[in-house]
Amino acid sequence: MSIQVFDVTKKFDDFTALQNISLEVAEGERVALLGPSGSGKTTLLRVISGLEPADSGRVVIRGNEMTDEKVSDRKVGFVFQHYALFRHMSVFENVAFGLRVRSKSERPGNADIKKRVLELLKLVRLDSMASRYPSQLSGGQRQRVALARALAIEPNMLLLDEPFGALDAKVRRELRQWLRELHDKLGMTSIFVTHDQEEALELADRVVVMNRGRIEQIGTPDEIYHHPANEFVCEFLGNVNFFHCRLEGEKVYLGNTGVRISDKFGLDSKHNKVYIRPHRLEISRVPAEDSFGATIRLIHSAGPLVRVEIEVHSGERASVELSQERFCELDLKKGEAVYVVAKEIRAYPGDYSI
Amino acid sequence: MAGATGLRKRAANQVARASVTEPPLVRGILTAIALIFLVVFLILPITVIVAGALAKGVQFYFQALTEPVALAAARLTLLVAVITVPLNVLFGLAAAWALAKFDFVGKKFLTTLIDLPFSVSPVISGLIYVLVFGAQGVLGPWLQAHDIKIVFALPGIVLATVFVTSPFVARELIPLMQAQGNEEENAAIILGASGWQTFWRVTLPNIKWGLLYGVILCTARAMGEFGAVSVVSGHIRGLTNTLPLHVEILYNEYSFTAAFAVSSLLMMLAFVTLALKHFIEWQHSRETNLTAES
Amino acid sequence: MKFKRHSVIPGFGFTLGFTLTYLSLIVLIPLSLLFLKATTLGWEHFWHTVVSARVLASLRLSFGTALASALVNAVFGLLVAWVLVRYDFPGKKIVDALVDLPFALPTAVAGIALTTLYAPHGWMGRLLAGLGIKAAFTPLGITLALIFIGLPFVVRTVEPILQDFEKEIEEAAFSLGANRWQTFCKVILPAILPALLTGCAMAFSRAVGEYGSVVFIAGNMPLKTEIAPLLIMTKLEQYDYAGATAIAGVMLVISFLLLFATHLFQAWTRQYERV
Repeated sequence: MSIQVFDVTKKFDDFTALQNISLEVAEGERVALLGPSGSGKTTLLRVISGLEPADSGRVVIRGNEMTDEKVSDRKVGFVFQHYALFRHMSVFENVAFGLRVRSKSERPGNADIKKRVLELLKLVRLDSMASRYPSQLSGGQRQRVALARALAIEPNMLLLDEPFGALDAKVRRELRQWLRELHDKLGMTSIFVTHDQEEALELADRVVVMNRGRIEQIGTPDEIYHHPANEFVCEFLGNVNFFHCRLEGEKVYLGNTGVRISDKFGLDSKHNKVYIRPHRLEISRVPAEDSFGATIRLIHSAGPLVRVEIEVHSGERASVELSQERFCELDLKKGEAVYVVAKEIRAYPGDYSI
Repeated sequence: MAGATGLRKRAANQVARASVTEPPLVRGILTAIALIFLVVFLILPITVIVAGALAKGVQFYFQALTEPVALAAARLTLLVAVITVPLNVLFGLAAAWALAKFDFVGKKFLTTLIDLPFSVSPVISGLIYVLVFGAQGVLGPWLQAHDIKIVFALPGIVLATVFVTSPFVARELIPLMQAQGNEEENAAIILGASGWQTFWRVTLPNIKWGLLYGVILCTARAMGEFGAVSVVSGHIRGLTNTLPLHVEILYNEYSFTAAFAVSSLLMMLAFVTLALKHFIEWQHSRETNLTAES
Repeated sequence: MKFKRHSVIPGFGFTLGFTLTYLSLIVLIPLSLLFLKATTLGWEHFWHTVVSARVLASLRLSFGTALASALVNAVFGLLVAWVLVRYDFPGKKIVDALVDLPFALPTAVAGIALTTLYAPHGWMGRLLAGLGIKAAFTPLGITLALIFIGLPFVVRTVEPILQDFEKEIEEAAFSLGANRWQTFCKVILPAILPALLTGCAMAFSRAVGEYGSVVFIAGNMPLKTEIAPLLIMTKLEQYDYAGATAIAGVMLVISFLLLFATHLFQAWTRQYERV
C-alpha cells in the first residue's frame, strides 16, 4: 500500500471537517476525492500531506508511520489550488526551488539542477518558457509549472487540490487528458480533490465520494456511477429525477399513476422516494404495460442529446434525455401528452422521510 | 503618516476613473476651491521656508548650514535614525510575521497595541521615559549610582524616537502580508525549505516594496521628530540637539534666516521622502498590474 | 478553542515573543508606569491638578481647536479628495504628491513656517489683518496649524473609497431620476461616510496631542493660548512631575477612547467594502 489513512478525525472549532476517515491507496493508483464544498475533501488531502495535523487517527505512507512527521519529511508533491507559484521567481527558479533549498550535503550541483529542471520542463512541455515569470503565463501553463515544481523533489506521491478548478472549460478538458497521459507515463500514486464529477469519473482509477466529513462510497467510476451506494451519491453523480411514490403489491404509484415494477429494482413497501436517471426514462407515443402518462412542458434540443422536461400527472416534474434521432422520430411538441417508461428505478433504504 | 496611506491601498487605486459626470462649471469651481486651499496650506509654507532661508543671500545660507553646532545636530539626527530604523525594521518584520502568518487568540488586540504610539502625544512619549529614567524616575537613583545617563543623552533620544516611529514598518507589512496569504510559504515548506529559507527566498522578495515604504516613512519621522525628543534631549547644544531642535533654538533666538536655512534642509528631506514614496507606489502598482493582467 | 491554529510555517514563538518583548519594553511598561505614577498622586492631588483653571483651559483649547480643525478638514479634505479622484487638471500628480507633505515635513519646520506666514507682518497675516482678523498667537492660529497637520489623514482615507466607488451605482441613481445633488447626498456620501469619519478621527487624535507645529504659532499665553502638551512641557521644566503626569494621564485616557472609536469606524468602513 502506498498511502493508508486510519480513522482520521479533524475538527475546526465546532466544525467537524473529517469524521473517522479510513482510506487505502495502492501504489501507482489514481484516486479522486469527490464531494461538494465543505465535504472535507481538501482537509483530507492536507492531512495526508501534513499541512494539517489530524486530531486523531494515523497516516502511513509506504509502510512508514507519518502521523507526526513534518511536512518536509513526507516527500509529497503538492499542487495547490491556485498553484502558489513564487511570483518573483522565473519558471526555472520555481521548479528549481525544492532542489536549491536542500542542505549542502544533499543539494545537487548547479549543472545537475539545471539538467533536472529542464527535463521536468520538457516533461510538462514548458521548456521554452523557462525564463518567464508566473504573471506572464496562462492559467494552464501555471498549472503545469506547479506540477513540475512538485515533481522536482521526486515525491512519494502527488497530491493535487482542485487541479483544474481555476481554469476555463476548454483548457480543463485538454489538461485532463494530458495529465492522464503524464500519469500513465510516471506511474506515480496520486490523489486529487475535485467537486466536478465528470473530472473524477474520467481521471480516477477509484473515486472517493465525500459528504459532511464522511466517506459515502469508495469505488471505481463504473461502480460509483452505475451502482451508487446511497441517495447522496446518486444525487451528486449526474442528473437524476426523483419522485415521491407509494408501493402497493407489484406497483409503484407515482402520485395516482401506478407503474408496475419488476423485482429487479429491489424496492420494498417502506420506500416512498425513487430515483430515475434522465436517460433511463423513455418516451413513447403509445401506452405500454409499465408506462405512465405525462405532458411535455419544455424541450431543449440544442446539444448532442435532447432534454425534454415532462410533468407527470401527479404534478411532479422530471427530465428525460433522448437522442436527436429518437427525438425526430417521435416528433415531440410542447404541451403534448405522451407515455413514459422507466427502464431503471433506484431507491435507498433508510430513506423513509415525508 | 498614521493615516490609511498603506502601500497596498494606494497602489490598488491607480486606475483612473473613466469619465466625469459633473458639468464643467461645477468641476471648475470645485477644482479652484481645492487648489486655493492647497496653495494656502501647502505651497505658501514651503515658499516661506525657501524665502526665509535665502533672505540674507546664498553665502549666509551655507554658513548657517556649515556651522559646527548645525553639523553636530545633523550628525546626531543621522545617528538617531541609523539606530532607530533597523530596530523598528526588526520589530516590524517580527510583528508582521506573527500577525499575518498565524491565527491566534488576541491577534486583533495586539494589532491595536502596535498602533498605540500613534495616538500618544509626542510630548507624552518623551515624558514616559523621563518618568522611568529621569533623576526622579523609577530607575533614576540606580542609574545615577552607576553613572549611566539615559535622559538628556543619546539613549533617551533614541528611545523616544523608537517609541514614536515603532508602528511605521509593522503597519505597512501586516496588511500586505495578510493580503498575500500563506500559500507560497506553504508551498516552500512542502518543497523542503526551512523557516529562514522560506523567509529570505519567498516572503522577503514579495514584501520588499512594502518594507522599503515603511523604512522611508520611519526614517523621515525619526529624523524629523520634535516633541518627544524635545522632552528627553535637554537641549545641550552640540551634544543632544537634533536638527529640529536646532531649528527651534535658532528661531527662539530670533536667528530667523539661520532657522529657515536649517529648515530648508529638513524640507528637502521631506521632498526626498515624498519622491521615494511615490516612486515605490509606482513600482509596486506596476508589478501588481503585471500580475493582475494575466 | 486552542490558543493558536495549526500552521506548518515555523517561527511563531520567536516572532510573537520578540514582538511582545519589544512592545512591552518600549511602549507598554513605560506607559503603565505613567498611570502607576498618576495613581500615587492620590485622588485629591490628581483632581486638584486636573481641575485647576489653567489645566482645564489648556485641555479645552487642545480639544476645541482639534475639533475645529477636524471639521474644516472634513469639508476641505473631502473636497480635495473628490477633485483629485474625479477631475483632471494640469499638475495633478504633483498636487497629489504634495498632499502628503504634512506627513513628511518635520513639525518644527511646519511650525515656524506657519508662524511666519500668519504673523502680523507675514504674507497671510497682513491679508487677514486687513480684514481685522488676528491669526498668529490666537486659537485661530492653532487651528490653522492643526488643519495643516490633519489634512492628509482625511484625504488619504477618503480617496481610495471614492476611487472604488462604482460608476454604475451613480448611473443607477441618475437613471432612477435623482439629480446630482441628491445622488451625492443620498448615494455617495453615505458610502464614504465611515471613511470620512475614520479620517477625521485620526486627524482629531493627532491634533489633540500635536506639539511641534503648534507651539510656535500658539503664543503660549496661560489660560488663553496654552495647549495641553505645552503645559505638560512647562510643568516638566518646573520639575512638577506630578502635575505633568496628571495631565498626561487625562490626555492618554481620552486618546485611547479615540483610538477605540477610530477602530470602530474602520470596522464599519470594511463592512461597506465587503458589500
